[in-house]
Amino acid sequence: MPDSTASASAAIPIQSADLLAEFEQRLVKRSLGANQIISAERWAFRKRAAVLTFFRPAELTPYGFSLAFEPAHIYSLLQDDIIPAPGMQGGWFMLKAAVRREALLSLSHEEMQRALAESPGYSRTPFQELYERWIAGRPPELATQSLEELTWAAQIAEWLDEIVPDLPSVEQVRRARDRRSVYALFSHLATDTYTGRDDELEKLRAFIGVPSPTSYAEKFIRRVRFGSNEALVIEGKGGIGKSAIAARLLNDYFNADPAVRFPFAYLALDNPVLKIEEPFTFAIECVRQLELLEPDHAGVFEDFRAALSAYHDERLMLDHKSGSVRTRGGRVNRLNQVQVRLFNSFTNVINRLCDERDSDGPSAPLLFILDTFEEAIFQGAERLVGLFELLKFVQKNCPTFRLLILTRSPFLPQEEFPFSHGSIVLEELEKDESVNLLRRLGVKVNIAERVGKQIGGNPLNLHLAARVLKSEQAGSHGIEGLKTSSYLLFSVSDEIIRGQLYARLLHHISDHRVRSLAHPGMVLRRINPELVLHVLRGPCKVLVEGIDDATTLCDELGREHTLVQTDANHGLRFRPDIRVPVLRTLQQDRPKQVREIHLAAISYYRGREKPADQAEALYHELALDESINIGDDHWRSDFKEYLGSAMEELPARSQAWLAAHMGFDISPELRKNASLKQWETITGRRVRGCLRYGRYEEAISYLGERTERTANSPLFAYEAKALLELNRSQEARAALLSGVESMQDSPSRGRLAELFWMLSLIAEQQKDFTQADEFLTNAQKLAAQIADPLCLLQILVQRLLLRRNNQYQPDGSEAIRRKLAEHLATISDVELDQERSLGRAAVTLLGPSYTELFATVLKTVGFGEYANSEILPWLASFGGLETADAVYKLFQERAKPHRSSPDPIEKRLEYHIQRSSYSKFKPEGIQETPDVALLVELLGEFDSLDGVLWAVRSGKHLTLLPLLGRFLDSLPLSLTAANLAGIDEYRESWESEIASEAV
Amino acid sequence: MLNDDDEKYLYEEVVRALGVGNPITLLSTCLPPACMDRIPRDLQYVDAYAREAVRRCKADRWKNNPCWLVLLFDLFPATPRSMALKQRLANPPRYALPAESRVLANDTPFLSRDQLRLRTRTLAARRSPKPILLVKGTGKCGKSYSYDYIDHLFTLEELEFAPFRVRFEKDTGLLFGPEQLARDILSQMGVEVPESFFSKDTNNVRWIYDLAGKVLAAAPKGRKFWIVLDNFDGPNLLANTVKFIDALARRIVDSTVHSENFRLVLLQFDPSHLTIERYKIDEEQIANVTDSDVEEGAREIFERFSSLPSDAVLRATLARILTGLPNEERLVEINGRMQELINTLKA
Repeated sequence: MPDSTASASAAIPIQSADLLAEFEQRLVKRSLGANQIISAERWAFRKRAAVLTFFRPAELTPYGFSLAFEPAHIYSLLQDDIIPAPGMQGGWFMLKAAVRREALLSLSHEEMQRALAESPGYSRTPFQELYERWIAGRPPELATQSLEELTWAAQIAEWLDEIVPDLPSVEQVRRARDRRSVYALFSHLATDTYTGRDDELEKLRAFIGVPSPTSYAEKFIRRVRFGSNEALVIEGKGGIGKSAIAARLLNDYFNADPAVRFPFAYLALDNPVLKIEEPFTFAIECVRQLELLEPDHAGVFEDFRAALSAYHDERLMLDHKSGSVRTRGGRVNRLNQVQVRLFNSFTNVINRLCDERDSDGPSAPLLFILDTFEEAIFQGAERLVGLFELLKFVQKNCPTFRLLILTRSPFLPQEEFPFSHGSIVLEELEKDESVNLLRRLGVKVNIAERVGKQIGGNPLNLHLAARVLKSEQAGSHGIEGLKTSSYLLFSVSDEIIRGQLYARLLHHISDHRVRSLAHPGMVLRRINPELVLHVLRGPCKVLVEGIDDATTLCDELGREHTLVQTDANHGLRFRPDIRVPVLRTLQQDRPKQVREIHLAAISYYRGREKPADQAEALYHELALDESINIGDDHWRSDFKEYLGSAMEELPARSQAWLAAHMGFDISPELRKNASLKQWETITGRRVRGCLRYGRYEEAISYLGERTERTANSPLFAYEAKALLELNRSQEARAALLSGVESMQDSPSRGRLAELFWMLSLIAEQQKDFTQADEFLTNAQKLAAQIADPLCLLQILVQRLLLRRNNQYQPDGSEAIRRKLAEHLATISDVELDQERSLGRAAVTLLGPSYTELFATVLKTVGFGEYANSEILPWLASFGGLETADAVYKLFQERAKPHRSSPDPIEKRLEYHIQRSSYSKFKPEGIQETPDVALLVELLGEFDSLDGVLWAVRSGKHLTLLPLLGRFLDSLPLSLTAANLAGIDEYRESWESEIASEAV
Repeated sequence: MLNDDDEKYLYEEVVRALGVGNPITLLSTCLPPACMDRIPRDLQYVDAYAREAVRRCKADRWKNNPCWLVLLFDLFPATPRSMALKQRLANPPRYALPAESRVLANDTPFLSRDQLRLRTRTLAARRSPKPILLVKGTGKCGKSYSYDYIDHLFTLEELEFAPFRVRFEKDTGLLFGPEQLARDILSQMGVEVPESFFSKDTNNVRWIYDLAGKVLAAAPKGRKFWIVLDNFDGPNLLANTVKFIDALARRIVDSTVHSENFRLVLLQFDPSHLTIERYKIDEEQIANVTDSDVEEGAREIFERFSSLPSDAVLRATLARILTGLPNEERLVEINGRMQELINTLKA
């Protein structure tokens, strides 16, 4: 909409004929386009550039030309042919693919080679070298190439496709790359030095039902493909090689005969996009990998994606405040049904992959690996229910599904793991295997035998020992001075040995200042020049002369890759697997120094704004066991990723504090240490997990662990929700009233309003409409003081909904409608956009007599899931339009022919015609009117009801509003399963973590 | 403020101009110290200086008079195109309701899209419960114009967040991994990082997630951004790039800080790749452009660049725009014709 005061130059009168002629001329010119003639010079540069991956235009010479060109001229010649090279700084470009292919096609093979040979001083990157090998017709074996090389090769194959003969096809290279990308997830876990565990590998193969990768006998393959439909759990200490054995197994099959290979998915639970409480995230990740491994089954994956889309749509509908489901339990059930449909689709993917792999043989097994499962155990059994439901479903419906879990000991107790399963407990390597590993790591045989005997068979410790031996001579018993037994001659733990080995590595740092910064500086988790200067300099007794000197020290420390990694904030981070064991010995040996560093770190980090810094301040406070003095306002959800790994370093009280905020479950003993507030948070999370899966008795049992509650406790409402689903409504009511009593003087209006809201729902359920309305009136008073207008909106809508009941017809309905209209008019479209179904409910109850408001609000909130085609069968049932065919006919007559949507409304109408259910609708009293015909016509033009609203909003077609109002009125409308809107600011962040649409 | 073509043109002219000497010295001849203070001095290449100069000048919008973008034109010889562009940039366009306009500040037509207009305002709220916006539609239905609209709002100071776009190009897609996308995002935010920023200390999965976190954490303090990822779709899109986008989305949704400072707009991205609960994502399903939309747009174009013509001329113009449209790329053609109408009136 232009400003009426637009610039004066804009008001030039138009000479109509000139304007139209000029416009026509431009359109004609546009349609003809510019037929470019490519100059010989441009071709020459194209040819030269075509044999180079990336180039700087100014450095190019023209192929077949001896003339020199100015850089600006080269650039102007090529400017339409080139694009910036991805990720390259400094003026690097590449030819557009089509231009490159055109240029390559114009060159003979010899000319390509000549173009390369004559290119002076071009950059021979590994990518360029690979390109040249392809141009020469000698590409390396795809199976031996790294992921990075295959990524380049995929691009090269596309450039050279059918230009250079006898090269791997684009499809072959892409497949090789995709397959390698899945192996890249774990292949680093089992390097070339891997040795041993042959028995365990054999057990694993037997579990899966596959022969050794070197076996080619088909009969044998068929014979061994029985495996076990039980789960298998591999457990063991950190560093013992759990992930490595799985990686070794999968790597072994990488180059195996395709008949021996099997599909798999490798999911590590330290991958933050995998949400334990959302099983769909596991399905997505699994299908992602299978799609890369098994590209021949595109249709299978398409089906899954369609199911996933439907799953999300249905969950979105459940998230609406208003809908057809009338109870909270109903929402949970619906969510479960929706989830089962997704599980079914996921299982179909697996079954079809397994079945179609071997059309003439038994189904192939599919191995589903969950690594670092201890991350899930940490979060508590209630959160695992959904994931276990998924796995149980697949296991039940897919006989060749193999579930392999890799976890640190101890694993879950049997009652919490709903699968019969076998176990492999990984112990230390046998002596021979330890020696073998040391030898592979470069240790001489006689030393390897001594050291193997000395430090045992923990593979991680053996790796460290090999590193120490690169700097030290071995003695007669192995590494000199290493303490491997206590004074009582008991063996010391692996972790103590590891701590000593790390300390030895530290002592080999030649610069004493760097050494001191690392030890005891390792009390810090991160390190940068400022921390060296302001935190470590004093306690570590290191002379640091200003920030430049500190930077030099950090650079030196950064070279010790065994100890440090780069950090997100451009600093360094001590490797956690080193730091934790060293920290234990530091705390015992140098408590005063450790405390000084913690205090200096708190002082440094406090007051800084970045979440990473604030999380560090909190970490050091917790490490000092100061949790009793730390308020909840110190916590932010961003801290999770920084503090998740800190649990085991902290004292018990701090662990309870952190667990409450992280969402971790903790042992009953630690729970006893928790304050009431922390206990409520931990319990609240567990209870939400129970409510999500209908485990109401369990929820009540958790809530019964303590009887006292904080003043604004969220647990009153959760207790009532659980009791209601157990049909214990009197107890639910009592819990809510007890909450109301405890919150009377509380500033938490939102919490109190929520309790009144729930009390009203119970009263309504018990047909005590008067009381329900009284509770709503109380909630309304509170809502009037709540900043978010949606809270009051929901309460007013519910009050009118109560009055739809024939048994409750008190005076004052019109006043409430007026109040609703007044309130609705004050809510901005942005606010309404947050709860569209609530806005729809409001206008449904107000009706089109509030013409302006009705049209405006409806335009904002739209018809939601009813916008597309549901109105058609409804219209089809009108008098005078007896059948959908009549609507269709009318539609065809009135609607305009253009529409580019792939799912135009006529197709959807055809779908409805094929269904018979529409004829069940028979709204009475509506005849075919000009409005019906107009609506059909507008549906044709705008393709959806929301589009029709655009036309109505423009001030036209207001006569359609009654018809739209009738349609809205025919849609399901109930708020009885909904939580109260607009009180998020009174809730805690964990209250939206699990399936908020149902809990 | 600048459409793609204009920006590319200006950037290329500045690259050429800076190529003849010391870029900082040359830029100092036309840009004021306040602007020069924002341009890093340690860039390695001329094109980086040109990109920074255009970006910083554009980001300043019309806060200074003359606007900084106009000053850049002093670097190179005037041509008819540069003069026309310079003239257009001399003064900010005026709008009564910028969010409702059918002609954007860079003189691009922008028809219909009521859903986007509303969703954009919802998304601009400080604490939007849905910080991700997914723009869906078939074929060439105008998804990329969404960025022009967001940029239009920012240009006219309707948005607190500065938008930038990273486009997925089919031609380079096979080489465009998480690192390249991260580099582009950092560059658009004006952040320089050392090479160690991209080092892979952890496994592949964790590295991608960590990289997404590092990119967001590296944003300049106090700045807010709309990250618009355009056309990340199709067979050339790498699996790891998809994972990086998922990780970015997850990071923004899960973090109170990032969800205040970033909005992620995905133009044509398959949502089945996202591991985010859908009620944390807003969507716009692009509707067809109707004849009424075109009429509304044409009226506004006439009003903005000339004055409303006689009904006969308006009808004739509309007929010319709406006649003989192809079924494929219908919107592209309509927009092209509307653009020619703007050009005609401007000429």
